[in-house]
Amino acid sequence: MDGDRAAPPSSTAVGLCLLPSELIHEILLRLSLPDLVLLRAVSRTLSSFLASSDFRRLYSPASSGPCLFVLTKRFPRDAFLRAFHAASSRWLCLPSALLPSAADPYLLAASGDHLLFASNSRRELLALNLSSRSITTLPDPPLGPRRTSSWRRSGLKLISDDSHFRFLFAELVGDRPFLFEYSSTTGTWRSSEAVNSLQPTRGGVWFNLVQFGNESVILRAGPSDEDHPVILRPRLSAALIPRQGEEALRVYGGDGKMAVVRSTALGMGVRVVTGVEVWGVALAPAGGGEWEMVAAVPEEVLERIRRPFGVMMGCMEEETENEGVIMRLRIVLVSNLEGSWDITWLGRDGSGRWVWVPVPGPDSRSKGFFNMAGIALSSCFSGLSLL
Amino acid sequence: MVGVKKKMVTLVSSDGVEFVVEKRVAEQSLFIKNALNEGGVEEKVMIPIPKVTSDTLSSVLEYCEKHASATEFQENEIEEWDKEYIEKADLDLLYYLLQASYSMSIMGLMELGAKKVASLIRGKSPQEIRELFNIKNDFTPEQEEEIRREMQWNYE
Repeated sequence: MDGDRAAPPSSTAVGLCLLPSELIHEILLRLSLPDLVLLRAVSRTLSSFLASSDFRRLYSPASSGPCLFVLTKRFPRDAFLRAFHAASSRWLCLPSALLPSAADPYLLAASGDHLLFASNSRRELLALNLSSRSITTLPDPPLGPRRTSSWRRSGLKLISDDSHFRFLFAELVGDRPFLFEYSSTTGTWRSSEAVNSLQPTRGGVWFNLVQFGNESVILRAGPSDEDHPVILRPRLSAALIPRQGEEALRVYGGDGKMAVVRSTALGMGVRVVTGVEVWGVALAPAGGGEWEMVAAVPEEVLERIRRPFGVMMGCMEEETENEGVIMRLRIVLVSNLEGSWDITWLGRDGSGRWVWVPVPGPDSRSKGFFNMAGIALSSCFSGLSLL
Repeated sequence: MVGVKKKMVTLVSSDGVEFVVEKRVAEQSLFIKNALNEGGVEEKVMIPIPKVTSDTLSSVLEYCEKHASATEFQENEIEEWDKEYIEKADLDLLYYLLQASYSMSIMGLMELGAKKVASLIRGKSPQEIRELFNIKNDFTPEQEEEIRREMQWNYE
């Protein structure tokens, strides 16, 4: 270890660290987050470059790209948080000392530098701020303390805004639809009952509440704080009803779209994916509306993900620009076959092209994941808090 | 006047070597372009290029020459040429090219060099990066231990 400390002086007059800082920035900005994290450990000079405000101003979440956070547990009180960085197809390990490992955490959601966990043993919500490296316990939500299993992924959303965050979840109380919102700015919960919508609406956060027959119930919140949450009841078309022998997993993106993952049985407890589609709500002028298919993963991409699986869960995130014309999205499917986990990453770019991103094993020692304790997609994680 | 005479300029490297090149080649450098505009001089211009040695300047001018006539080439052809050009530069020349592109304001060359250095860093461990770029590990043992503890899994 001391060998490199005693290394002979550079044979040349220039060196990487002696280049003008603008040039070093030019180089660093071309590297992905996993490389920058390693670079931080090379030397004090490089580490201070990465910490400089000049570099931080130039390096935006967009330069980093979307990440998938995966929480795994080895032992009951030993948790690992990793981030898969799609642009470089590599994993990054987050400091485990920051995790509320003793609370038996389950990862619920991620946004920016904020991660939200549900503690199974304490029935609490814990928020980790990677930037300030602190954990706060949220006050009990209005419906009282809840177990990890009570949280539905399709009914919750974390929205971050630099140092603060809002956590929203929608729930039917009796048969009345409610939106519950926690704001870290005020440190309090707010609840509001949703009303039926008469006008077509776009934007905001969409939560899937429930499905009755061929009708789905959606609660739409925001976009602004003053907007009252509204209820939409788009119909499910016949094409959405699974055919015989088929199962259709629905993954809700929170932005008014859902991914439908169709699969057929290969044998006892083993299935294979036969189709992945994206559906959106077409709103009728008179209110209501219908789910309609907006995109489908083409056969050649589907070919890549046709692996047998036992159970599957997923998450989806979309970025829509220009009134819905440009739709970039990513779908992550986590499947398990006989105890071994597999992760599938599908992305659709602005031009409508679908890509499959290979997700390697998390490290050289283990091929797969064990004891998965939650996944969360985040498109706005810059990773600067790790540098 | 016989025919169309190409406008030439003379660049002088830091070690005193003169390079006579076409104006349009030299103007790939914004630094030179501005110097020529400000000077308003027509013929026989001598422009000193401080801090750039003749070896480096000759390589820089090879780049400028190619790019000054880039319109004659297909885009993928020039990309291919760029790739070969930067590939054959060793690490020392790469540093010098980067510094020269910076001081002479040649954006394309600067991006090309930065991209090359980034590709050399990509996927390497901290120790491999130190060895390749001859960077001294100047962390105190305590600081190194702290980084190691915090991000242990990434550094193995």
